[in-house]
Order: sequence, then structure tokens, then C-alpha cells
Amino acid sequence: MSEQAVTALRRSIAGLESAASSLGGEAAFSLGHDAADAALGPLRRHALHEVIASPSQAPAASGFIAGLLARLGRRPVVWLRQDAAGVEGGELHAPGLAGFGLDPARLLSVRGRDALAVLKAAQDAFPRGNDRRSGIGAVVIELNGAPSCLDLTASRRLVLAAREAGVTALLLRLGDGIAASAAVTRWEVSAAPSAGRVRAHGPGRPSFAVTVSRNRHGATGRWLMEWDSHAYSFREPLPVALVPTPARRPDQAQPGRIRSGNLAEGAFAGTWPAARRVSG
Amino acid sequence: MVGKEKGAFRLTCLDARAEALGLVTGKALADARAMIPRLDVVEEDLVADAVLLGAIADWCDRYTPLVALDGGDGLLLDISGCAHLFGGEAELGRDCLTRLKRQAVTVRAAIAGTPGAARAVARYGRGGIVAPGGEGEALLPLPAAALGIAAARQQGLARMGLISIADIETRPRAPLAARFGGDLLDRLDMAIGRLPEAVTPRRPLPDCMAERRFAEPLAHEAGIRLALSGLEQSLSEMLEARGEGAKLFEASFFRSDGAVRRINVETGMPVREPRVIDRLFALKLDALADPLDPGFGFDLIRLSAGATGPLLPDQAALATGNGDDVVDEIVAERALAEVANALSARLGPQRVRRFLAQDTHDPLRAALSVPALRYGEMMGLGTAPPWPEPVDLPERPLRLLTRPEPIEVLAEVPDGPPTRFRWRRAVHDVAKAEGPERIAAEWWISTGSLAPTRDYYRVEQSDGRRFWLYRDGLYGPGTSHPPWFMHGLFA
Repeated sequence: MSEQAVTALRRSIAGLESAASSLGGEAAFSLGHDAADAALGPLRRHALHEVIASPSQAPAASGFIAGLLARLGRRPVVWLRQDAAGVEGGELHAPGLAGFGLDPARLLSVRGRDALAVLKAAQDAFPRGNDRRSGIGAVVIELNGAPSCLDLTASRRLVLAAREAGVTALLLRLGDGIAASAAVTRWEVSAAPSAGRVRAHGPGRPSFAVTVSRNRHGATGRWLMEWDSHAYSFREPLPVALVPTPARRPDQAQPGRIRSGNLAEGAFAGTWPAARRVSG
Repeated sequence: MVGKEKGAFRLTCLDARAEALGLVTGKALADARAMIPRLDVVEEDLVADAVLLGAIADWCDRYTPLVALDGGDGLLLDISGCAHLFGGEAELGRDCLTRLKRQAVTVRAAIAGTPGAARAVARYGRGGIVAPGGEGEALLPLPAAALGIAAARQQGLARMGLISIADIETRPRAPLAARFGGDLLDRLDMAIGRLPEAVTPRRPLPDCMAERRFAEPLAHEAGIRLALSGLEQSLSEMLEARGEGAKLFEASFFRSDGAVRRINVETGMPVREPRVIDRLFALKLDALADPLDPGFGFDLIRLSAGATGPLLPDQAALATGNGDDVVDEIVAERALAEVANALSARLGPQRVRRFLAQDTHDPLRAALSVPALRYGEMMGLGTAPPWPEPVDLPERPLRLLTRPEPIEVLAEVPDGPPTRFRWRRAVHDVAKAEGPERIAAEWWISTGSLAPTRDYYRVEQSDGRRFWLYRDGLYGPGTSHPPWFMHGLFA
């Protein structure tokens, strides 16, 4: 079976698992993390969820969001950001998202001049008459700090738009002192030290310390989560020994081996004759 | 009016009173002052002239979409097939002249069967309408200069006693062509209509357009929107008759005082549904930095469509089958296109982007970010490889800094991974590190000197944050301290 076929199967299994819940199929999703799912209950799909992180934890928060998006399925995603966000925290890197399990071909990256422009544009991102099977699936609204335009009214408008269009709205707020909003859940995310070690000293899977500080339809709590992009699922970090050595890793550079372009994993890798070694 | 020519001020333009006093254009200013000491002189401003002529040309769009500039002070309107809309050529000419006169523009106009004849009669004759087929007759008494030939050649003709066009027309052609070049006779033939003359319009011609005139200028916003919706409806019907959609729509608002405002919207794939076009214009009008100013009202609104092409079949109706990947793909693509169109109209096409995979190892170029409106055609080129499959451990960061930022690094061994680094004034202790992943410059596309080979490391800080760092260059002869950079941020 080809790699793509396996990927597709894994994805559909994750989709089935994610949708199976008491809310009846398509209206809810889950994380895949057993303890957290049990406590939180089914998560509303057509609602506003809020992810909060300090600016230095922005990459972890976007990773968590990318995980949620992959968990939500393959429907297209609109990601809105402010102009200034790229300078401070870097631009979205499509190959990284692809490695996470998110299809960059189904991502629309939108920038607004300021928070107000982003919020106004967000209203256009929820199409009227959206197809609930294959239309826009999620809208991510990334805002820096606590802009005054994002008040309770603005977030309620997002809630309504999400419900009417059948879209998951994810509000990513980077900053401290975040005021209340109309979101059904609030997640505080930061990076956690990874558990698995592949090589002697390498970092493991993306790991998050997630605190759910607000949940309208279930309990709250704090969990350590790890993102497994093969299973499209969050889960509890595994003990070290259980992590298998993956097949595809970047080559450890050794003297005389250069990873570059067409030589990367081709037949030439590792077969450079000693006489042609590159010094260094 | 004077302009500088060969270091001396010369008269370039005269009003009626100055002409009556016997001044002619081309005379040196000093001579003119000697004749009339109390001469009022204004220095010419070519840029302002061009702007004014452009504005008048815009305004003339109301008569025909085919408006061309004729020199620095003339306009050429191709009114073939348009005149009857205004009650005939005479009526059109009168309407144009009265309206321009009301705007305090002094004009002379002529209507003729060829551009050359109209130009000659307007500039050197008495203006008016040249009867069809009467071009030759109208041209013969005019001076040779009316053919629009260079001054040097005019002098040459004058020296041979060829003053009027009739003089040229009655001479044998071969010696004239030998003496003055075939160009002179070609111009004459074009003006009389024996040769075709092409007119280059100022603006690209729309494929399709609808317009509406108002007896009373329209100033209310609601009315304007309503009129626009009506035009969208008729344009949509025209496009439907052609079996096409369009990617480019332009609404032109002609203000009664002569100003013209154009609003463009663009879509990623051809559309023709009035509802869609209406929404795009509504978004665009809402987002305008300087809102549409009706002044005393618009007396003409025109909607034109460009870049037409076949419409994609409406396959949303087919999306009833279960788990059909192709249909899913089409519906997803349509949903993305619809949102991209709306957001591009609101924010501008550059702010709404999609990603194309590139066949390269260079992290900076691995993903090409293109405006969403161009995504379809870029995809159509078929060069984009598939995106990488999800991997167990991320190899590439989620966020990439647009410009790698220099960091200070401590490493146990020069060649090894960093143990501690300082980035944005904060010190980070490395708990885990993996690498290097060595990425060399792509020598097969680089023309100049190669960028140094980069050794990338994935590192994890003790609190769990993960970074992508690289050393720019290898240790070796000549490079004792290769600099380090922060390039990306992992989740």
C-alpha cells in the first residue's frame, strides 16, 4: 500500500474517532487525548473556541491550533493575521504545517492591517450558504495583545457567524491580561518539554501544556499533550522506550556527506569517495 | 504661454487676443515682448497638460470606449456604431462640444470617415462634419502640415512650392515618394481613406459592458447601488448569452462635472452571477480609503467586464454523493475561491494568499506564497510538487522568520550543536538538540558566488520551546567564527 493511501486511511480513522460522540456525529469533535476528552466532553464544532498564549509561546499555540485543525478534518481553512504578526513571530511555514498533518493547499492565509481589519475580514470568511461537508471548515483569527475592538459584542458576532456557516472559529490571542469573550472554551497553551527521545539528545514530538480554564459544556483541567501527526491525534506523552525510530529523518551530517538538493536521499548519499570529500 | 526650446523661451500657445495682435507660435519671447511690452506670459506645464488631457479623455469614455490620445493636445474618438445612441453624429458632436464648453475647455472638433481627415479638419480646417466619401475634397485646400508631418519636411515641401494638400495630390507620386519617402504618401492615403489607419485606444477595450444614463444626476448612495445592481443584472445576461464568465469587473462613475471614478474588482475564476458581483462591489465600496464622492451626482454609470473565459460548471449540485473525493475537491476549491474573492475585494489581492510547494531544499523558497486570485493559473502551470506527507517528528518549523535573526551561541565543540544561545536579548539554555541537517546552496541555479552551506539544528529549550537554528558556513580555512542565526520556531 502506498504511503498516500496509508495517510488517507489514518486520516479517515481519526475523523471517525473524532466524530463519534454523544452529540451525534458531525456536530462535535474530540482531541484524541483520553483523559482530556473524558473530562471536557464533546467539543462543539460550529462554535467559537479561544486559545490563549503569551507572545513567546506563539509557536506552541499555533502548533496546538494546527493540531485542532487537522483533528477537525480536511475542510478548507482560513487563517487571518495582523500585518505585524509576521515580523514578531514569523510567517506561517507551509512545509511545517504539511508535516503537522494540515494540507497547505487548503489553507488561505489572510493579513489585515490591524486588529479591526482582521475582525471585519473575519466576517467575510464565514460564507453564507457554506457547504457543511466540503465548504470552509475552520477560520483562525490570530490577534496580538488585547485590542479594544475585540469586545463581547465582536466575539458574539463570531459565535453567530460560526454557527450559521457551520464553521469552527478558533480565536488565537497572543498576549497577557486577556479579557473575557463569548467563546465556549478557553485554552491556555504553552510548550512542554518533549518526552520521547529519538536520538541521544534530540527533541521529541510537539508537546504542549494545556490548561482549559473555561468550558461551557464540561469540566476544566490541565493536561500534558503530545501531537501524533501519524494518527492525527493528541495523546498523553508516551514513555521513552515506546517511541519507535522513525523511518524518515534528516540525515545526520557526517564528514564528506552534504545534504543538498538532488543528492539528499538519492543513490549518491553516503557514497562519496574519500578523495572528493569536502573539507569542513 | 511660453516653453523653453533650445535654451530660449518661445511662444508655444496663444489665446485669441494674442493671435489678433499678430503673434504666432514659435516666436522668441524677447521678440514678442518687443512687439507688445505688456504681454501676459505663463510658463507651460507639460505634466499638468497631460493630466488635463487624460481627465478629458476619461470623460470622453462616455461616448465610446475607444478613446485615443492624439499628440499632446488632441483626442481621437472612434464613434463607429456609437453615434446613433446619441441621435446621430451631428447630435453627438454638439453634445460633446456644449458639455466641454460648460467645463471651460476650448475645443475644435471634426467628424470624418478616417482618423487622418478628422485630425486635419479639426486642426487646420473649420471643423464640423465631413460627409462620407468627401474626405478628399475636404482635405485638398488644407495646408500640407495638416497631414501631421515633421516641421523639417514641411519646409522641404514648401521650398518645392507644395503648400497645400492639393499640390501634393496632383503631383506624380513616384518622384514625391523618392524625394520625401513613402511615409508622406501613406499619410495622405490614410487620411483620404485609401489605406486603413489603426487607432490605439488609451485603455484596453472591455469584452462586454452595460451602461445607464440618468437625465437627473444620481447622488444618493442607495440609488447608485441600485443602478449598479441593475447593470450587474444586464451584464450577467450578456455574459450568459456568450456562455462565459469574467474575472475583471470595472464600474465607471461619470460625474456631471466631468470627473470619472473607476472601481475595479477581480476574482480568481470567472464568475457571472449578479449576486456575487454585487457582493464584491459592495465590499470594495465599503473598504475604499477615499469613498465614492458623487458631488452633484453621476449622470452615467458603466459596468464593464474583462478577462472573460468559460465558466466552470456548477458542480455544487453534484455534491450529494457520499465520500466522492473529486466532488469534495471541487466544492472545497469553490468555497476557498469565494472567500478569497470577497477578502481580496476588501483587503486587496496582495493580502490574501495561498501556498504553492516548490521543488527545492532551500527553506526560504520551499513554499511560494502567491495571491489567492493568481493561485489557479499558477497551479495550472503544473510545476508544483505535492506537499510532504505528515511526519512523526516535525522536520520543518511551523513559523519561519522572514529574515533569519543573528544569535550568539555557545557550543561545546566548534562543530557541535549549541548548548546556550542569546536571541532577542534573552538567554536560552538548550536541553535537547538534533542535527546538523546540512543544506548547501543550490549551485545549479546560483549565478554569482554561492551562499555558505548551512548546518541546521533543531533544539529544545529547558522549558519546552523548540527552535530551528543554523550556523552559516562550516568551520574550515578562512572561516574561524561562522555566524549563527535563528530561522524558525517549532511548536
